[in-house]
Amino acid sequence: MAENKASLISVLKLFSIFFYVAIFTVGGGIAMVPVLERILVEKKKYLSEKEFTEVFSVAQILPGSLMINMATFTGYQIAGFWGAFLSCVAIMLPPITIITLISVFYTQFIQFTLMKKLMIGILAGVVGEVSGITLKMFKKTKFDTFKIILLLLSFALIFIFKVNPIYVVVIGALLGISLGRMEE
Amino acid sequence: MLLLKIFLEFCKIGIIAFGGGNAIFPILHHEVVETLHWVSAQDFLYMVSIAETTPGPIGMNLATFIGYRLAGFLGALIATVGYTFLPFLIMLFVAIVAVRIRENKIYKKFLSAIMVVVLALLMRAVYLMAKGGFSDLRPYFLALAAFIVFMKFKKLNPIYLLIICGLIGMICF
Repeated sequence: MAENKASLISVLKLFSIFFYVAIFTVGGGIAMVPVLERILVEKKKYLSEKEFTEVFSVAQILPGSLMINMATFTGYQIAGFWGAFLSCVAIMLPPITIITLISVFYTQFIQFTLMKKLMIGILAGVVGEVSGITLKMFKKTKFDTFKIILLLLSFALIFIFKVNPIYVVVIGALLGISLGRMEE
Repeated sequence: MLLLKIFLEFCKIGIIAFGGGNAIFPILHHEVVETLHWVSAQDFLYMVSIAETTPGPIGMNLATFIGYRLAGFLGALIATVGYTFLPFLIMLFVAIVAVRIRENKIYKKFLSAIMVVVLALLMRAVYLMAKGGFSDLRPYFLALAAFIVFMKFKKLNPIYLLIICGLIGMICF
């Protein structure tokens, strides 16, 4: 009984966290990563730093929006199926509400340039925060020769050869399984 | 019938959406503008510009938008649920498996390589956001400032930082 109550509370908490985060996700699901890291890892301690990186990495390489994937994995990890389900519902609510409202007031919105400036400002903040989280992940990585080569290879494939990221993921996974070493 | 068609169409689009919203523009354009004629090319561009600058994942915003256009609120709901449905099931399945094989050697090797690739993917995301959304140099300076504040003040809620950046954007851009 006590366990049920505890899991109900964690499901509700997850719902409110993802709802709150979804409102401030501008410029794609990536914007929620720094925010979630601070809330789930540093503040609430729902996930360890390592688990968070795992969730994020796996979510990033699967089909579908990053946000849905992160909500599902995090939700499942913390509170099982209902955690996953309600986290997903929570991130759908703000977009549905806001876009529906915009559709209703369709023409008025076009002139609303102040809104656009607000969003570019938020986007600049997102760019800064995602850069921060990238640097943080970079520092946490225990680099060996294999990983340095893999990183350089991924950069080259993505930025120079403009390879579709999904192939870079597949190549990285295969190389890792055949040549890589395990973390501790 | 239309609702069912909307649902199935967005199920399909949801599953091929890989690498975030930007990647699905061409696919979505091909489906809803060229093949199904659900929205005009001009309206599509307008919808993309709104979807990019409103909260929520871009692909999901577009699904809601197009769904609403076709069948009102119910259409918006059906399209959004359709877009989310299959990725949710796949991710749920992977999560169930991943939690159980965490100690597996191959999974550990896989994960440790993928985390390196993800670093490159993150840089790509930053690059695409800046390239697509920043009109001149000012947002770059704001992004740099946000980066420094984010790294320096570990206790600061990142959402407050985003709100402050938004307000600065409203005043200065």
